[in-house]
Amino acid sequence: MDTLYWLINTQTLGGMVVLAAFCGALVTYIFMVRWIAQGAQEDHK
Amino acid sequence: MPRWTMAIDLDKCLGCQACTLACRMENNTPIAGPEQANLGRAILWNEVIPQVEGEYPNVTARYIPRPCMHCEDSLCTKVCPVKATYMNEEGIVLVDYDRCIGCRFCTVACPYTTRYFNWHEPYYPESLKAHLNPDVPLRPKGVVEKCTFCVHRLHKARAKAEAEGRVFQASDYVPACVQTCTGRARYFGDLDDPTSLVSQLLKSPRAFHLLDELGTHPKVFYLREG
Amino acid sequence: MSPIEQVVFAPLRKTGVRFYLLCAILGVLVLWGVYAYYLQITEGLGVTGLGRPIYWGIYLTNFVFFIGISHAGTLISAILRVTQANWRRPITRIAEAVTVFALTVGGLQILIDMGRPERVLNVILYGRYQSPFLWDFTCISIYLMSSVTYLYLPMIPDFARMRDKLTDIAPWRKWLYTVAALGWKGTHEQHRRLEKAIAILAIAIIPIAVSVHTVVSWIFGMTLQPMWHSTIFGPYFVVGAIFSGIATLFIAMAIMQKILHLEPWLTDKQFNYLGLLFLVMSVLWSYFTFSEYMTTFYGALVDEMHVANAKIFGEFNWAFWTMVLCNGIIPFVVLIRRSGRTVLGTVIVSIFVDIGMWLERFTIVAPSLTRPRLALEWAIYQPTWVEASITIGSMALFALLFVVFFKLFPSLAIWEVEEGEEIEERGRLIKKLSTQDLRAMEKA
Repeated sequence: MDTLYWLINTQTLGGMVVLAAFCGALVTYIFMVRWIAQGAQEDHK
Repeated sequence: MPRWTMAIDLDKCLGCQACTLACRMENNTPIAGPEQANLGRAILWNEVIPQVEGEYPNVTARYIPRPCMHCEDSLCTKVCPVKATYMNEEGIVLVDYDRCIGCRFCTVACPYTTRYFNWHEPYYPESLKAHLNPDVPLRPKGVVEKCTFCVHRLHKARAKAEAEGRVFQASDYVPACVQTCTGRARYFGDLDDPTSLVSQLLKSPRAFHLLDELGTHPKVFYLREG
Repeated sequence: MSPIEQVVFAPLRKTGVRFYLLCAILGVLVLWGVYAYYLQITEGLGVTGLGRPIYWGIYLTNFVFFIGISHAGTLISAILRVTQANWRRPITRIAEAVTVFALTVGGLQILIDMGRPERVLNVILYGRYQSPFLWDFTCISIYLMSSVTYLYLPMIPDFARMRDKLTDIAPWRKWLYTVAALGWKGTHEQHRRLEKAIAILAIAIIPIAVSVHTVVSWIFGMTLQPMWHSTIFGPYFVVGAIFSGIATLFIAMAIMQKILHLEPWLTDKQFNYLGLLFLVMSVLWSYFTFSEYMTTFYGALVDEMHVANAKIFGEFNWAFWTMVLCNGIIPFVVLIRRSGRTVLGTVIVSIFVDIGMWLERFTIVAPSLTRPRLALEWAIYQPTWVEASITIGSMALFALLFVVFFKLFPSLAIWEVEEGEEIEERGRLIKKLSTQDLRAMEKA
């Protein structure tokens, strides 16, 4: 319980979660788009 | 570490609002003016709320002086997104004016409505400017402020005790409202010390907390009339 | 160019006076809102009608309202895609655009409401996760990112078409379409990957969207304020969000159908089927609202009753009863009939629902704050012209973003619509074949 409270109450830690969610989504979608774009080369092989 | 606690004896309270005034002078709360006050923008860290019950001729009235409750399970600190409002080691709930983003989540979460917002740049008439308390910082526009149990007095009392080479005692520290109270209705002290007056008063059958049912465990408690 | 391309690309190639006029009007409204915000920044939030204890008002109402509208896209593009409802195809693009711009304008409201907007980065620098605001920042940023991707992905093949077929446009636009098309060649492998990515995103975005309006409701639900502290708020807000989202989508669909001549694709079928969903959401909304007030009144807790009475009989009664009329009664009476689920019928209902849902958000935010447990007297909230101007400016900004977007990008997902038509065509063929086969078999 104390650890949990520490996790949610510590400053900056929450900000890091938001940042991680933001960056995580961004990177995932960039890779997704890249994967689609690379589909054009895939057919030539 | 002490847990600072305030007791207010409603039997002794005259409703004179000297505590409200003393608090204003002590903590440099700005002047709102009648027009802004009507819009609910007067900043009174320590408000005296009259409660009138019943209908004429069977009316009972009581006065409830209401500082910040400095709840043990405070809802304001729970919802603050940036830890601008927090409880220090001695149980006093404070606001970091340099960090507050002015989202007013704490002000809507507080069931006692003890928190205030700076709707405009704070205004002080010329006559008041010379009497501002240098120990208390002025708050900028757009941040939340509230009763601090005059925490600057605590810092000062500690420093003084240290300078005089003696051990700091709970009796060295008293907020402005407690010092001023005309009817001597207010008591202040350390709840962790079982011999302190506030600890003794809390055992009284007259002792009660405001909105006890909400489970906020306020550190300010009252002594019922009669 | 195929007929669909000719119609859909027409507004991208030629721009009339009406477009500039509309942009000018919306632009002026936005600038007026910016001016009001400038005043608020310099003077402080005192220029609003807010005070103690009504610390939140119109801006939070707008926040909840716009974030709610953003659920249109998810419902149409994700839920209907997962259930393979083919009639969704012509409306997916419009729905996703509503989502992205509503989210943008909704997120802006939080910034507008802040006393120190320049400190917004403190939420990252010092953010603590116990605050429901952090949950909102997490969910909304993921939702925004997902929605932008979900808007973009089906546009890639359309970008390629524009790159190849729109020869008479400004060079910067040509460049924009070429870059955005990512060298799309329409090969089998590319299509497979695109479809797969869209399919994954369609499923992922549903829980994300539900989480968004749940945590929005929890801003209120997690406090102990009378009539805010309610377990029903999560689902109640999500239902209201989809409801208001469909309403806004209907208005956008009808306007675009008329102005961009999309009648062959945005047909009676779309208005009928979506109208049925609209009706379902209206009934669900009424059910949640009834449950909410029924439990409050039966339990009759003193503090809650003060708020409930303020809403139903007190100074908020105009908002409450208009809301009931707009969200519950009018949609039910009109949409229950087949003749009501037409373009005209749905648009009229949608205007009422958008008004009603805004009022619903308002009657959730304001009344609870006017009746604090401890106070000298109950407060009255009177919004000022600044709040009104910023609200109108925000709505104009939403419309402006929408209009400019569809000046630059096609209003239909062309390849998706074509695919849908192909599926329908094949279905017809198979049907035809099988009846012929049956007859042949009977003869034999």
